[in-house]
Amino acid sequence: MIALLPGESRALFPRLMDEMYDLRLGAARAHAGRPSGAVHRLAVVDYFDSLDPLYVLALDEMECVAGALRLLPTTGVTMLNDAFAGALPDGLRVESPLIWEASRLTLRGAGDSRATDAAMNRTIGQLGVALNAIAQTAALTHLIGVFDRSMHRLLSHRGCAGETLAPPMRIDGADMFAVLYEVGAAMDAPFQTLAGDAWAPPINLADLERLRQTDCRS
Amino acid sequence: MPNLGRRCIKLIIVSGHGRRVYCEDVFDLIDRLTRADRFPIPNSFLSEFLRATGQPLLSAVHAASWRKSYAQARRVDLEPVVRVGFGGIMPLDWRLLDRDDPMVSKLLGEALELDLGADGFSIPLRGRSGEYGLFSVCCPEDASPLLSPRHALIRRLMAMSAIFHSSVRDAFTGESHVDVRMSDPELACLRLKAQGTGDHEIGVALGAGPTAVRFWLETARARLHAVSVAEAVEEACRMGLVQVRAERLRPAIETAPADFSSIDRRER
Repeated sequence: MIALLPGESRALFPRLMDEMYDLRLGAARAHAGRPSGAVHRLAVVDYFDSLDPLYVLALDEMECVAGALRLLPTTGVTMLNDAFAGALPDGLRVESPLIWEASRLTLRGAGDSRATDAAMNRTIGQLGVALNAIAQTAALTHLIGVFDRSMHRLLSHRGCAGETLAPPMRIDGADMFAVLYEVGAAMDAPFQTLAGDAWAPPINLADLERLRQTDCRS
Repeated sequence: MPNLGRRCIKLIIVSGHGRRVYCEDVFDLIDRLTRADRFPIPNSFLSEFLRATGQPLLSAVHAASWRKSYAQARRVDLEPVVRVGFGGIMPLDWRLLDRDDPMVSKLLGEALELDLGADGFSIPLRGRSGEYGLFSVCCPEDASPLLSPRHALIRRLMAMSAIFHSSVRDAFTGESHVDVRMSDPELACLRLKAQGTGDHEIGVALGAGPTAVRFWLETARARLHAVSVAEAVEEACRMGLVQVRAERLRPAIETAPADFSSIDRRER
């Protein structure tokens, strides 16, 4: 199941946020050569999390977070424009209301050889199909993915790494890749193959919470 | 509601009886608003908000009585459009509001009393300085068919809202209205597009895929404050950013630079 969580509503879902940050923490610890500071909890919550992004969470049958990423419009502050300024042609910002940035992709079991490929494929597929669906709803033309080397490799091996947008960039000792997806059927196909029949429309958790509050009032 | 023509976007406000009461070119309106005097509104939640954020207010049209009741009832915390709009990044289609929710039906009822529309869209905005905004367009429900097709309309409104936002921001900061600095890929794509070259052929010429071509055309469109790629190409030609030759497709590919560094800097 895919759940959408607007950053503004994160306080209502502390368990899901904790699980997402724990996944980030696990990925940081597994990353060879990452400075030791990055293994602390606070180091996996960055400035861009304070900008109320839209979190896209893949939940398993137990409603635990199996994968996550966050979305920010490129008209605002983004990793590509503000953390990697200068990586783009002529150092100009990418700013369009029709282009959003997906970043901090994290997957349960990434870097763990015991994790099954099937579970990983399903999570990647669900997240990718959800991204395309969200982008179509918002009438976007493109999505930019800013992913670290391990996530980029995982996506590349599954044929859904997108088109390279800029040379690899380096932050906190980690190589980051900026890739491009064009919203539509072409983006959907490889992710749909991975998701199989595990795909269902995303559920907006903030809407669910409002419904619950309305029910309580009535 | 906007009538989204190609060259000229009109803002048309229609009364509940279908009578046209206001009509203006949207970009004229934007220019006028950005030049307008700015008055802080005393004794309202907006002034509190603006004081807290240190931002001046562009203009406001609500009656004092409305603002007072709005602030007293703390509707800024309850109003679904404002709440979703400021809290999220997804465009909000008002049709999806839960009209059985007592607060939603009350607010929409009051909006109708004030001759405001009960159907529309709200586009959340995020700015490069971390600022938030909300751009809403509404129309009477009986004019809803004019809002179709929704996907194309949302895309247009997203583009317009960003143009509006950057115009307002530039007016405050004193920056130029349009950032004419373009990257090499953007200029190359615009130049070939102006020569009538297709996306695939532009990609072949530039050693990129059509996805990247459409991406650079979209960023160029946004930079030029155009509502479509076709208008961006026209604008780039008009501004002299690209020079179009009479030759068409084949020459376009043959003369395309092997790399972007060979583009004449005068074109940038």
